[in-house]
Amino acid sequence: MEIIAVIEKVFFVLLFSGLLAVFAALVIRLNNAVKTTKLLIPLRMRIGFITVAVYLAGCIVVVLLSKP
Amino acid sequence: MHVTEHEKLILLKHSPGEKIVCVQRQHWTSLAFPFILPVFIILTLGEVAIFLSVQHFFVINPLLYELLFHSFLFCIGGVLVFGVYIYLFWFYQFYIVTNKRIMHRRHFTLGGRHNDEVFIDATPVREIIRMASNPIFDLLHLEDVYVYFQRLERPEPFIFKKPEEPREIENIMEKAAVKKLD
Repeated sequence: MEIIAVIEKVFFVLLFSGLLAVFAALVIRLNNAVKTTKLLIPLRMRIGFITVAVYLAGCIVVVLLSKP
Repeated sequence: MHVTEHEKLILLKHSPGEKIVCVQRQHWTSLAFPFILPVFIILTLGEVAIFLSVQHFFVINPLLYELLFHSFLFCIGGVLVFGVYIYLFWFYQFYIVTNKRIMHRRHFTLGGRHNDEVFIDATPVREIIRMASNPIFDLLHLEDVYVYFQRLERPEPFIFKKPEEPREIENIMEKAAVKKLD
């Protein structure tokens, strides 16, 4: 039982880390787009993006701390 | 969200005598359509989780609850990251018409075409078609504008997919077809 729980935790931590990596790739790509166009996205959206990053990091913490 | 004058000015390096006639993004509703399926999946998963937690027909392993909850969190995370990509893709995508060329520019994309450009002087416009792909889009004025050219090297049309103002683009391309744009 405990082994399955550990495997489940590792699996979801890897999934959420993958999502964070994709998100980081998007931010890097966004940086290039801003450099070429000099167009900044609205402040509301920037706050939204930070919220998404915090959510993903929070999910990893939730998965690590969860107990069946 | 319409493109501002400031944005128009910094989007393009002009050649001598070139003037921007029109800059448009895709219609904002194009942001909503990709989310229909993911939101449906999340709602279904949520309903299954609620049903399993309240039913008394069979006993469920607590590990399954955890698995469902984490899957639910992951689905929401996936939709959020996908949403960020869709928004940025929409925000940095422009249809630009100048008196010399028409362009479709994607400044934020992971693969695919970054730039599609047709010089109007070298490729005269032959045919312009404005059409909606279904009755709902027709009611919402979400129309595509297809521009065909009199040139064998460019048999495929230049497509303005659901621009903000399809009629304005149609009018401009009609002017370009019969005379030079000022």
